[in-house]
Amino acid sequence: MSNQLAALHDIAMEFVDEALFAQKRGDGTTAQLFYQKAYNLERTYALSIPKEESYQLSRSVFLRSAATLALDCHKPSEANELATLALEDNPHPAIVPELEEVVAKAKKVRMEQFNVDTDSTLSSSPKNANKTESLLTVEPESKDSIIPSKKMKQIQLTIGDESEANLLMQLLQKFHSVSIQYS
Amino acid sequence: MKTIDLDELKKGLPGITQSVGHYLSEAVIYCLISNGHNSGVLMAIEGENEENIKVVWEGEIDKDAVNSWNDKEELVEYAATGMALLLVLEFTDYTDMKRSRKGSRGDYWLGEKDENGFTLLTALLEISGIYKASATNTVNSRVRLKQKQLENSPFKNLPAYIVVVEFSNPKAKIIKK
Repeated sequence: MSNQLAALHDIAMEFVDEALFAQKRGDGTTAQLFYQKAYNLERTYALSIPKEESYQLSRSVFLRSAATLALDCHKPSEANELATLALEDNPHPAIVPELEEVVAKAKKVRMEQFNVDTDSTLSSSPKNANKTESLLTVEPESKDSIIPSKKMKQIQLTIGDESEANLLMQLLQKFHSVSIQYS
Repeated sequence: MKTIDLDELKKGLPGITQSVGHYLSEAVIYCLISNGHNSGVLMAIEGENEENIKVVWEGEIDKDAVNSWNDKEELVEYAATGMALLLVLEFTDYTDMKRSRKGSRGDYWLGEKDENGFTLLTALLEISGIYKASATNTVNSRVRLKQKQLENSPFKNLPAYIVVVEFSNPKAKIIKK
């Protein structure tokens, strides 16, 4: 079984090469498909590496590799999760700066996905949801539940203060999907 | 005299896929041919080991391949990488390699496979290539540059190898840090 697991990295690298060749010929869609396949395998491999001290460098390097592939697949939450795991898991000191770089990149991409484009945010209205082409802002007294545009990519909730917002962001980034219930 | 067969790259090496190996092999062959060398050319090895080796390959470079290598900087980078990987396998005890991801500070990681097939990485490999050396661009100056880069990197406490390859008067220097 271990030998089969160990082969995953080699196959992942084959997929990375295919992704790079696809990228070179301008075929972004195919590149993404290969990056996705590579990421799934590299992640499994990295998480399977023994936790003994002698594998410390290998674990750090392969977790970083998987995290970087997650970024290539536009999965910043998973990239952040893997790099953070590596940082929490007695990383090899030489790899710490690279892991921190991945975390920073993942957070940046995540923030961009959540929309930090302040130009597209309208001033708040107490009674209605604010709508732009790509952003819906929901505030405590908002009543409108209609998604106003097919281009809608984000919903922005206004909550207490910045620290609460940051905490909520951090929590949400740990999940693949989020549903909200209220009493 | 040891012989390095560039066609071995085309089969892939530990940690190097066949497609990348093919690409690297073509780069090394093109660098040597375009410098006027043929299969069987001698390459002087310096540094950790001092000896001459024979570099062999089969076939020629076709016109399409020549056209695809119009970026000389890229050509030399890949050629040096292909040659360096073969030299590391020939002259060191490392048996497995892993490419560093883009954005990483090293070129390759070196290690060995454990009994379960997992890669146990233990050292770093830094590679540099020169198409044709000049008074200001020599193998030794590249070695010094790489040594300086390593000293200023987070990897300064890790074991590392530096391999610099020159293709006009074929030579390679292998330095263990």
